Amino acid sequence: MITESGIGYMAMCLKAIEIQENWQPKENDLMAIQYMNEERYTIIRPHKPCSVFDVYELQSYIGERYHFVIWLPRQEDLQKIYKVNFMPDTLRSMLKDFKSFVWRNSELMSDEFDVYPMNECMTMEQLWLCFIMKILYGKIWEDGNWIKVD
Amino acid sequence: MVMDISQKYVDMCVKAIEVQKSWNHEVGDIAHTKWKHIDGSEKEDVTALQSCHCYEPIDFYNETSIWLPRQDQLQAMIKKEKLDYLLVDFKAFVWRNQAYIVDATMDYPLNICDTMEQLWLCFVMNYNYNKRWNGEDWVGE
Repeated sequence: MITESGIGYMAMCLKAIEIQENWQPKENDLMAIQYMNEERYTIIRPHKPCSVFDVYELQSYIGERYHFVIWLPRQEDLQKIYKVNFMPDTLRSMLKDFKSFVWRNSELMSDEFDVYPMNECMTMEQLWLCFIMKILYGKIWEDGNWIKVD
Repeated sequence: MVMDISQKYVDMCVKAIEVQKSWNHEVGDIAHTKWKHIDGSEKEDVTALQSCHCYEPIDFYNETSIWLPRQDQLQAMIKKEKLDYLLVDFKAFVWRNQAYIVDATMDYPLNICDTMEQLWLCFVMNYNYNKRWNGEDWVGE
C-alpha cells in the first residue's frame, strides 16, 4: 500500500514533526533515506533484498552517509502510538474512535469520501496518520502541511 | 515486534490455508518458525525473513514456517481499486450487525478479535473465501 502512493505518504511523514521526534528506530522499520549530496529520497523496504537494517548501523550512518532519514510508520506503529496514549480497553474502543474520525456521521451510515480525511488519503497508512495527528496534536493535513485546528 | 504475534494470531494464520498458499516468501515478511535444536528439543520463534533465509534448508519454507501477514499485506489481498471501496466493505463487515445484536454470536467479528491483524484476517477470509473463525478453525458461512 505504501509503495503505490509513497510520495504522498512520505510528504505527510516528513512534516509530521511530532511523529518523527518520537521515533525510536527498530529493525524492519520502513524509512525514506536521503543520501549525502543527493536531493532525491530512496524508500527502503525491508522486503527488498539488501535493505534489512540494523538499528545501530542506521544511527551511525546519519550525518555521515545519510543526510536525512524519514520514518514511514506502518499501521501497527500508528496504532501503537494510539494505544500508548489512550490505553483503550479493547480493540472495539480504538475502532470506535477511528470510525468516528473517518465517518463523522456514521450513525447515518453515510460514506463521505469527498470530505476530510478521505479526500486526502489514498492508503490506510495515510488514514491512520491523519487520525493520530488529529487526536494527539489537533492537526489536519491541508495544502501539503499539518495545520493546527484545535 | 509491534504487530500481533500472539499465539491466537499464529493459530488463525496456521488454519488459514488459502492465505498460507498465497505466500511468496519475501524478505521482511514475518514468520513463525519451528525448528529442531541440536539437542533434539523443538524451538520456535517469530522473525522477519532476511535475505540469508533464501539459502536455508527447504524445510524452512514448509510446515515449520507460518506466515503472519501484516495489515497492509492483508489489505492487498482484497482487490479494490481505491481505498474508498475497501473501507466501505470493511465497515460493512465489522459493523454489519451492530444495530440489531441480540446475542454475542451476532457481534462477529468484534466478539472474537483482539487486534487489527486478526480483524483484517477475518475480513480477508470472509471476503475472499466466505469463511469465519469459530475460535478453532475457519468454517464456511
